[in-house]
Amino acid sequence: MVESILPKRPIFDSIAEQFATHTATDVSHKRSRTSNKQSAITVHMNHPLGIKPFGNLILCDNDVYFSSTQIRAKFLGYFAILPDELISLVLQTLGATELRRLGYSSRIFSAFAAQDDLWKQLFISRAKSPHNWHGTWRRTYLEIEEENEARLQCHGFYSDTLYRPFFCASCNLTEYLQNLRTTGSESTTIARLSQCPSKNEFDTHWAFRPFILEQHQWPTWTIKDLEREYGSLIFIQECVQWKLAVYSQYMRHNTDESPLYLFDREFADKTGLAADYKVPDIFAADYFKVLESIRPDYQWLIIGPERSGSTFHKDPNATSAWNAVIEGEKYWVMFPPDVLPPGVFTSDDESEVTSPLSIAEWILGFHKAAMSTPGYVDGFCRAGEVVYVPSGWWHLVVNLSNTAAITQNFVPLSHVMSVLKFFHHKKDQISGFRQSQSPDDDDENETPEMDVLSIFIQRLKDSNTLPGSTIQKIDEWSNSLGESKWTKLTDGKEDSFSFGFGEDSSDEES
Amino acid sequence: MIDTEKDVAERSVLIKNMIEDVGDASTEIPIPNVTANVLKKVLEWCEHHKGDPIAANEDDTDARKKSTDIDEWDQKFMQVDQEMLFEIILAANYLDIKALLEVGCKTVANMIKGKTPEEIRRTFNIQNDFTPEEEAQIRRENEWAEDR
Repeated sequence: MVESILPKRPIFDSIAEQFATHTATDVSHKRSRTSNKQSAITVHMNHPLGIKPFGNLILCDNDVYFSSTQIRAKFLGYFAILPDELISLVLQTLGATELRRLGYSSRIFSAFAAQDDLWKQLFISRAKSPHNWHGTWRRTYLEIEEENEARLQCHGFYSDTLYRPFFCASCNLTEYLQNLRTTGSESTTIARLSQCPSKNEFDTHWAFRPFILEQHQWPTWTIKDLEREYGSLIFIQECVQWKLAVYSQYMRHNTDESPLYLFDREFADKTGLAADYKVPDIFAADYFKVLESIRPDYQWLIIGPERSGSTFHKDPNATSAWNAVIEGEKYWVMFPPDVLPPGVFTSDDESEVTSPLSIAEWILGFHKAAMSTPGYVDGFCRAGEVVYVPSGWWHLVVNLSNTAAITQNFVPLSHVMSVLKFFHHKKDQISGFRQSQSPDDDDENETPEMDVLSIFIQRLKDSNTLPGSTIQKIDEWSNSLGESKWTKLTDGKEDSFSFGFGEDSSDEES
Repeated sequence: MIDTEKDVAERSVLIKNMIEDVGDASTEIPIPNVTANVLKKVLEWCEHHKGDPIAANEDDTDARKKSTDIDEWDQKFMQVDQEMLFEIILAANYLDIKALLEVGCKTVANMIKGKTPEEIRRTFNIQNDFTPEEEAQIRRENEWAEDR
């Protein structure tokens, strides 16, 4: 779903606060869990069009303040009575030609009409793949080189609407996060294991908490290797599908606050890269394997530049996941299933999750609060390492440089019950299952009704792979659901409850 | 003070929520940010559209956003001077009347359509502050970008 690209910002104040601190004197933010280290978020450059944060105007003397009101009236005309975010909203209605020409009417309008999110939206709605990426969505849409684009400055205009995306795209998150590396206490840091735990240790202990496994034989290819080998292949990047060669241009040269993220579920078929690695033993027992052809997508290649990543979510169908970095580095923040991360909002049953902010905005506005929230853990996962995300855990992940990773969702023994309970209690949130008769059909818009719970239980039993104690647990649980319901379930008769699968949640980070 | 029916006023999500909070539709609702003549105009729109189904927002906004079709009654309704047009947009946003805000945005889009930058300036009372060098750059970019 394409969301409104310039949404209202409910916690805008905290970001505005950040602007003020950055521009005034680089006030540092003391981290609550550190005693003497300080960590500040800084921006090392000025807005390319000369826009300043609105807060700066308040610090200016009266003359500047007064003249800025006049500037607005003169060069925005009748638009001047609208707040900046409303002007941007009106501009979302315009086609490319109108947007461009309005931008030619005055300097301030040139800044409003240059907002790259507007051009991204125009570009995506045109559903055309670019031959070349030209550094910004505007230039790529218009197919013009940087030297042919008019360089229009807009000094003396103060606007958070125009400044905020620039600030979030250029603040030095990596530097800020790197400072955390040395200061984290044990209780708030994701455990690092230099040796792979035994199967039994995993099932009884580690399956229930996040950890980073430092040792495993992962492939040694690089993003550059992939470009050479598969440059002309099409990959899926969120809402677009571009050739890898074009996406690489984008990855190495973009100014997006939330950069497009290559997240491809078909890479195994396309490239054969899945044959390059062996799943670590402790993750190899995967009880979703019994679902065979109806199994939701579970294997992804992920490539993205600095700042790209996923905002807070839980993985679909109560699956657990592992995520191995092949090149680059990822920063993870996680919370246990019952702790809602600060800045995230859900409906009562968690069927709707709203993370209104970009990753950068969340880190700027909420990271501090998050760190003092019980349950918080964070960690860095480098090339050659793999992170484990237990069933139901909230996680946010951001790339700190150009990063390639492989991830799989799976169901370990210890979470078979979590999945069954999810299927029972959150029927409407079950997602991604395929119709068995057409396993290759990607079109999940048709919503077959499938009794996933009974199918899963039946196939688990048929597979003879579960220990007796787990089968006993399943039976006890099933019986506790009530005799009548269970009979219906196992009989699969017309009265059995059923549910639809409309939602394609296959593109979630794990 | 303006008297109006509940279902007319409730086209505004802001007012609807206020009535729910107060629990009594016969109370006076203060609307400090909208002048009387603009509010009258907005209520005229609400009156005409009081029976409309509330748009299932979010999902289909994108499809509608790019279409600049406006129904005939709304087109007539929007034949006002520019000052009023932008007052209506401002009020529709404040009062949270999505459909009216959309009509306002589309009206502005239609007014820009087909116009040169100079005509756009005249239409919206915008002063030109570009230097001759910048004008030259714009002409150059325009040549490259035309018809994309």
